[in-house]
Amino acid sequence: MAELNLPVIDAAKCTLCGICVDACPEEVLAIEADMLVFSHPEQCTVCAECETVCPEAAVACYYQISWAEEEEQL
Amino acid sequence: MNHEWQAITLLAGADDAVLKAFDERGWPVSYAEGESVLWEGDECKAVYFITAGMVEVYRTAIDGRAHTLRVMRAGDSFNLVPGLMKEGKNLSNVRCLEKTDLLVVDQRDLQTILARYPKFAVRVLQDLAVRLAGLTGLVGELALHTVRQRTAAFLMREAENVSIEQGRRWTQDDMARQIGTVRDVIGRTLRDFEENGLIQRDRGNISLIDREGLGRTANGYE
Repeated sequence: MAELNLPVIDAAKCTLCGICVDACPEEVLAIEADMLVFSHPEQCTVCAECETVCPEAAVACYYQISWAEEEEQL
Repeated sequence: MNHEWQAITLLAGADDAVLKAFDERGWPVSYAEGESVLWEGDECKAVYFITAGMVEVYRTAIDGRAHTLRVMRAGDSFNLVPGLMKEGKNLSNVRCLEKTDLLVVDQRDLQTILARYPKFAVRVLQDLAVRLAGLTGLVGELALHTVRQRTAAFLMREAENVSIEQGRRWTQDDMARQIGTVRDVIGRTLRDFEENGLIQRDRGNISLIDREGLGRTANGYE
């Protein structure tokens, strides 16, 4: 199975406010049993909307930056 | 020689006597990823030389917003400027981005070495001149360029660095610290770049697809 590169959630910082759940355009996130979870991880596009709206900086999306033409050559 | 002083850029080509002086006075110390080495405003006690790892030199605003001044790697040195002042205070915060090994020299010992070895003192002056030029460029960028311009310039710079910094991954927060803004502004700017066909985001990758357009944006023509 390919690596999904999902956003990383810092459970210690997360207050379960649910703002990221509402903001996610793919409805990937959910709060279940007092935890923020990926209910549909395969649908996550890592658009970073959850990271942008999180007031506690509890979500981090990691990106590698490269030129598109170099990726095509690889 | 007890420690690897030759690997420090500032000491490259230095006389054996200088290396010996550092070796007699310096000591090694290791930090874990995420650990802080220095806090701005504290009394400057020492200068630091990186033998392995990577650190971020940054300043913080009163609202907690941070701005990265420089990322330094093996061979680099930091806290040199306050180390040369009389009763200097640390000018920046320094934290480790990965496990980092340092060599440390007391600030007074550095000043003693510089007074004793003028040729090495000139080398330090040249290094400070390069740092001043870099910071002058940074001030110009912050004062004269918009966030859009700085973001485009940052993306292009990082894409060029990919082969050097294998595997370096950036969060929007990291980017904001580099560019001198906040996370949600970076989020909006990246979304705008994507909508304008300059970049494409795909599961952990930001691909730069319009070199000319990004260049125009970085130079303030768009």
